[in-house]
Amino acid sequence: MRKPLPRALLVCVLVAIARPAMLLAQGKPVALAATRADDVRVWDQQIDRMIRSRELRVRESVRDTMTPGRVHERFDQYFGGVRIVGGDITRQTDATGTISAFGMLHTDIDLGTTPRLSVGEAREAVGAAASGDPSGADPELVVLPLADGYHLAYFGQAFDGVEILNVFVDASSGALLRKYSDFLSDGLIASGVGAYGDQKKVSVKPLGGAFVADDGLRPAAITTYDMKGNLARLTSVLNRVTSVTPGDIASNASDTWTDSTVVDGHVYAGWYYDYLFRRFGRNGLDNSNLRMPVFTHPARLEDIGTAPPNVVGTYYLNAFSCGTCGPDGRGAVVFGEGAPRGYVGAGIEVKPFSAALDVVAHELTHNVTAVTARLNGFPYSEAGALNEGFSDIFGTSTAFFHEPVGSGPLQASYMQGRDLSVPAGVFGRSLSNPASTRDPDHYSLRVIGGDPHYNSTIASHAFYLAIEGGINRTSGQTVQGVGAANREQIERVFFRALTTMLPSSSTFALTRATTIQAARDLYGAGGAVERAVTQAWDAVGVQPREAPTATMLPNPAKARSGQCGAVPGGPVWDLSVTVSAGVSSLRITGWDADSFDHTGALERSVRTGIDFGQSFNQCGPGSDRVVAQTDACAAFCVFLPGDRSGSAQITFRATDDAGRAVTFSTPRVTLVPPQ
Amino acid sequence: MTRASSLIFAIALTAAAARTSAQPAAWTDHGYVSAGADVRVVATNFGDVIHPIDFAEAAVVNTTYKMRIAPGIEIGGGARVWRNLAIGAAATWVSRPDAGSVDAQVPHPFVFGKPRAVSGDASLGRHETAVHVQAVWMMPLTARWQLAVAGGPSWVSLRQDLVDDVTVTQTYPYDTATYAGVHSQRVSKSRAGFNAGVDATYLFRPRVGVGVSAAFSRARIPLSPSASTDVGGLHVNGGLRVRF
Repeated sequence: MRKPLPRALLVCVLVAIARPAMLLAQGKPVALAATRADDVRVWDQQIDRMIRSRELRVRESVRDTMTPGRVHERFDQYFGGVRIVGGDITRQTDATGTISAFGMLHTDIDLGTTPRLSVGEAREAVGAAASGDPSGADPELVVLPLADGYHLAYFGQAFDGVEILNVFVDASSGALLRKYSDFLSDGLIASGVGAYGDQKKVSVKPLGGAFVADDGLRPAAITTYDMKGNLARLTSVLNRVTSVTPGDIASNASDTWTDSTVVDGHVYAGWYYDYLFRRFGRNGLDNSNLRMPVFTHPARLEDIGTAPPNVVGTYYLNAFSCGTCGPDGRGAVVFGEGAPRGYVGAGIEVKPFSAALDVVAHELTHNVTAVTARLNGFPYSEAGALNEGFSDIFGTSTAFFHEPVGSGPLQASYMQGRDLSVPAGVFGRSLSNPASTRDPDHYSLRVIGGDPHYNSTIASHAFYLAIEGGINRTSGQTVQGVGAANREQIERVFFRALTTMLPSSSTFALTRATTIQAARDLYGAGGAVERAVTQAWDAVGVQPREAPTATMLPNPAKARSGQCGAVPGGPVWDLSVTVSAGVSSLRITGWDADSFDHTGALERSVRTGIDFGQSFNQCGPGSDRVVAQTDACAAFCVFLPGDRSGSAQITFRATDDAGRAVTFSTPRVTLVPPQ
Repeated sequence: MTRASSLIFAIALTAAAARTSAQPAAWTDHGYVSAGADVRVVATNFGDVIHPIDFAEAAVVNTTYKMRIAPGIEIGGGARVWRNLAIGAAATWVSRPDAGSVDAQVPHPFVFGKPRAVSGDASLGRHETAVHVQAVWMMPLTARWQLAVAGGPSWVSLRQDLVDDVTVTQTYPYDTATYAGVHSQRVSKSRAGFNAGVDATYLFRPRVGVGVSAAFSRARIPLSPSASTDVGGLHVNGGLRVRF
């Protein structure tokens, strides 16, 4: 029979079991943010005292490259000669002393700093804790603050066959305290099938046994949401009434994705990020890795037959960008569901709008524009057309960057949006031959106040000509392009202009000026690139503005029945007026609106004074000042009391930057009677 | 010892055995026991190409396994069954991590058809265990010198670390990758083979001596559908020899 343990020994055993195996103690973290002089003085003394006692040790001291004379120091905090993880401060000084200090210090630590494990034993423990092989330098003895208190720990690295892990083990027992990957991503690559049956690599994350369309391998957060046809929820999210939830993120049970709408949208958003980075060295939409929310399945395809036309036009046969929408109000893109074969025309199938790389890139370029040039969308503004033009430019450029050149699906061409439909090109906009898609290839063909998508091809065709060269069909002028092999040059020129030079109320003329300047900046004045850009703008009829001009369109203008405001009914004419400043900014001091009867006799002259900005606010904020190379626009309704035809003209009086008086007029517009 | 010198040594022992066989002296012991250190003296290579799926695309991992000269131990024994003929058995253990040279094409995370080339070395374990059944012809040359010629079938077991994927470190935009190591799996296989060798023993006591032997054994072991390796090779052994 076994003898029972003596009571005294039993107690000793129990005490030994109950004793904590880890060296654990309490302490207190103190955040430091000293910028006011009195705070700085107090903390500076404390820091100096800690430096003298070796509680703070210099990790780095660098001279300020942006503010001469300043020095930035970084200190690590030590306790008993052992570095405290996360205990560090920064201090900014100049010749007069300390300017600021920030950081986190730990006080009142009660912890022994003698480890039980040797460095060699710690190294083995690190490897074991990570289920891998210890790697790198020998483990470092540290004080590790965790939620349950302060631990004396060893910090080392281990390789588990997949990634390098940072590992903290208890310095007494070798037990794992904390480990995390040294790789700055936790994504993985799944495979997926796109709308054209193509295989794609999808950057996803594992979540709860499934996979979600959240890119873990690119620096920016690229998240694709599947709204499952819940339009009400989507609009609530876009309007920031409702927040997205993890359940909104597109997911897949396996790592083989079959939802082509999600696959294409998610992959192409990543490719656009890659394009910005590789071509321009830009870190995402705002150059600071702004998150990129991509919304798919805004509506159910089977509901298209009963959906109101505006819903079909917005959430089925459309894709759009909104610079202030989305989970954090900093932008989102939404891709329409498309339409089944036969809905828009016999034999025509409309793919989901994420199916085309150039369309995805087009929408995301709007978000780049929204945080850079902010080209506004006022209906009569050239900036709105330029906004669309730049999106087409970098939409197609993204396709040329990633896809082989060709005319089939998944091939790059100058037909923006060609892949949206089967057969191809139903929704296309041609940059190479805009007339083929009934868009203007020359500035003289623009429709002031027209759809910005329509006028956009004036700019995008200039972009095309600067690369490929050729003859503009309207002007007959020849452009010597840089060649497709050098397309990067023109892309860089236009991107530089968009992101660093163009103001929000840009005009075609100003875009001409900025792209030429960008060409000089990047490739030297008088070089082939500047020549190509200049010739391209010449060919599409966009010339530099010297003197101020004014247009009033259409001319002739056809009457309609109706009324202008409170004026009784009769024939009225709707006119768009654009005032364009030349090389000098203008301050409009007055303007005269003259109307003439059918005989040409002056019927009425309205002289106005300082209310210019109240009327001319259609292509930018209303102001009496028109900045050089920009426009001010107004929409007028004209009537001729007692007359069914006539003409109209407006004359503007202004002073330029030199204080000189300037007078200029619109052409006299013929007002034709109703049909 | 180089491969060439090993062969010369083995040939010299064989020639000595041939000269003395014309006047064979009787071997009267009942049997023998031997034990000693063993060295695999020939370095050789074998290769393997595998295609693991990395980033949703097949990678190409080409590994050259470099079997180096390796130490081991051998013990054996046998009993005389007829005149100078004995039937015996010997077992050898050889273990040494081999150097693996890895050249791989690792797919790009985002796009198909743009692999990144990486290369590096890996330490891959290899453990050989062989049991040799031998017919031994013992030839006493003098009172102190004995020569033995042996041969027979072998049963060879191999535990080999096989590379099944490569790991890399990489940062966005992932145009390049840096070799970080390998995933490996340990494969154990056994096969029959053969062995042959000679032993020269100097008896400094009537029944105790030291000896040196050279033996060659071989078995070809398939490790995977794409890789097989020869196990054994030329070994040199030296150690204690006991007669009873």
